[in-house]
Amino acid sequence: MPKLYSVRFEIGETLAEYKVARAALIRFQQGVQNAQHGFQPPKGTHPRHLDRALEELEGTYLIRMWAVFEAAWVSFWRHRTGNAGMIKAGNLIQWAKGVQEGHRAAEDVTDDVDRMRLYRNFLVHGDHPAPRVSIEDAKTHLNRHLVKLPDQWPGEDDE
Amino acid sequence: MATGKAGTSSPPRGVDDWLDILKDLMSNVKAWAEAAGWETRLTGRDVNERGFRRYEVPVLVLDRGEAEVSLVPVAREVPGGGGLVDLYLMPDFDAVASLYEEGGRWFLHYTFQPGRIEAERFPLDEASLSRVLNDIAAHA
Repeated sequence: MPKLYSVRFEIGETLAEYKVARAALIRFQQGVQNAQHGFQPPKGTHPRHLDRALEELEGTYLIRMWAVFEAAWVSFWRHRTGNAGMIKAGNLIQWAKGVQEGHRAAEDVTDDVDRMRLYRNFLVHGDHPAPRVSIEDAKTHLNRHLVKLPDQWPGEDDE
Repeated sequence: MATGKAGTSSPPRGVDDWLDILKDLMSNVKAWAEAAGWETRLTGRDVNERGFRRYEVPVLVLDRGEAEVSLVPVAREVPGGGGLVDLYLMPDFDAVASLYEEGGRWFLHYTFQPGRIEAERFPLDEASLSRVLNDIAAHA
């Protein structure tokens, strides 16, 4: 049975893992740049890969964070509609506007989440440039949107 | 709410003890918070520990006025100690305080506002919980 707090916790863990990965990467980059002992780039890589990894890190974790959020909403949508198929993320967010099984969400929460969706699409597909949403803001937007969901609902394994 | 008993195989060693410890903690916090005027709601979250089957831990949600705080188990064991439970300010799910279990006792780690930098550590009891919750609520 999917649980709201499992989703919230996983989103929080994703942000925390991003922070430690970024800190480790920055430290490693410093070590490589200063030619410190024990800080050799892995075989077959160059310092530019390190630069690129750091640039792409936030987006990588943001995509993962969105996947956790979207999977929860798809699960709830399937439960509520009985539809076992797929739904586009944009349509899912619009559908979610009418859901209020938990708390009332803030007025602008759908717009905030939609901005994150568009940025995530840009990161994944590379077309339709969208303004950056920081991963800290993303975590806040997603959690504020999740208040619409109940504490738990029957999942595919339960039905 | 079913807590930790679903599934087909036995939980890993220590999980049953952890669930018993959490049950006591949640029960105490629930009673103390309600006495301080907080509404409470018990729910849960699933835990997937590497190499073991999934189990459920209790989550306690506290609500008073504009403030909502959730007590969420984080880890059964942390380096150098026992279990860890965090208090999260809702709806943003920001961790604002931690509870560490040490030798069967719980200790609160919290940075009082405003202007404090260092977290204070003190035993969990009705008075300390109330002090922390009041501070969280005042700055929610």
